[in-house]
Amino acid sequence: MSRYFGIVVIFPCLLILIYMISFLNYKTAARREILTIRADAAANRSTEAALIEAQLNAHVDSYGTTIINPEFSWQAYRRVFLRSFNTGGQKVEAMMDAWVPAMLIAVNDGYYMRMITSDGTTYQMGASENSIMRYRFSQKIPYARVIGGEYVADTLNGSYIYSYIQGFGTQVRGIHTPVDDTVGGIHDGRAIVAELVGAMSYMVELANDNNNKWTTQFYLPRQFLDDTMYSAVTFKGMTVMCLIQGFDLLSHDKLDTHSIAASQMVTAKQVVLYTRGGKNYYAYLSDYSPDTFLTVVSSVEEAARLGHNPDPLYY
Amino acid sequence: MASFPMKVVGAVLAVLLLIFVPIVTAVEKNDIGIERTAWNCVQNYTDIIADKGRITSDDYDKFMLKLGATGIAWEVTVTVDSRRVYAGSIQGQMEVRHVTTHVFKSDNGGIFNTNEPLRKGDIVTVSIVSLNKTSGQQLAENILKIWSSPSEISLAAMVRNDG
Repeated sequence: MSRYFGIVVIFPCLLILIYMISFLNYKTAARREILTIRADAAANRSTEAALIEAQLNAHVDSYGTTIINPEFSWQAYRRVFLRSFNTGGQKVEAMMDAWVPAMLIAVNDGYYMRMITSDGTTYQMGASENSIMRYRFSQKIPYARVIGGEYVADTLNGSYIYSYIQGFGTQVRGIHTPVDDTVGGIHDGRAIVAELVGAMSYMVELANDNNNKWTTQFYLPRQFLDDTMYSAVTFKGMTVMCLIQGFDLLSHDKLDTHSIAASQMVTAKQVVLYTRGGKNYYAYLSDYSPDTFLTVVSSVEEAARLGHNPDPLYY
Repeated sequence: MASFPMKVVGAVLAVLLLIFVPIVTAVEKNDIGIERTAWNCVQNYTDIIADKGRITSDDYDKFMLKLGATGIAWEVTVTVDSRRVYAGSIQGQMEVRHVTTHVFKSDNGGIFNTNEPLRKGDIVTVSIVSLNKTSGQQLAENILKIWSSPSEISLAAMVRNDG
């Protein structure tokens, strides 16, 4: 009887054990799932923040080319991402570098790559273990290709910039009106997308070659390639692409995610410039009450570039 | 007839199987549900502020109502980092900085009655911290003596439109 009862007891014990193990698995999976969702949401909103910042600080120079300061976008990206996990500070900000091997900001007529460098110099093969890895954005790289013996710089919206040398060394430069999307032609949207994906891939390779102190090997996710190559994203205006890998702030699990945000340029808002008490200030025309002001510009960024600061009366 | 110790083991197992295990499973599942519900609320509320460019008492009340469905009390903090653009040290350049200008806390009361307009480029962060324990946490603390920290969820976004 005692032996019979022992067998009877073993089965419930096993049942409880199996039940608890499967429940713990479920709980771990559910926890990981919500962390992934949170990381995805933070990455999406951060990429969007980088895009908005790029829109705000973009301006068009006298040659008609779009200029942005990509570092401002990176700062916005990092701030929103870390804020989403209620953290910040220099140490965590430095950790973010290791989680983001590739970031790219595409504007109408070129793109900026965030590249890894060693000791603040350009990338060198076999960097020493004591060297400090730094990330910095490249100069703008145009979507240039050779067509019919001429260098033509394509743009996202289909207009293209041409440049050639006329007699006596005079450089002629101009912008043609938008042309239709033609594969292999002057405006080739697919070629631009392929170029951007190639740039992201190059950055990932560069990060892997430089990370001799890290255990993580980066890779370009299949889903990212699908999203970009198969038109899930339309590259018609400013675009930010970002890859996060090995993010482990919330748990020992390393999370990977990527995000793409695309938009058009913003419309201008009138900003007035004036001087008060010997200091240069700016304010939105809608906020500004006195009638007298020096001049009107189209953005606060333009006002700042002209040497004016936000008026504490309105900010 | 089974021995007395076996009877005790059998009784303990019966209690575990019939009462304790189902209760633990149910409350733990409930905790996961609470976290997801709270996360969805935070996500929606952050997006509403970022889209509208305003923190309104109406939106806040709706948010608190949905959050109340989780069954536990939360402390809500909304932080606004305003975007400031300054003239750069070199002529023709500029600097962009984000300055924390507003911190709204639900337990201070009344602050959410603001219609403070935000500007495109400002960063808004919504954080919630649980004020009391979930049933799962209570169970773990009272029976297993495992103490857990309060649940904390936050999400930040850049304001998309001028308020």
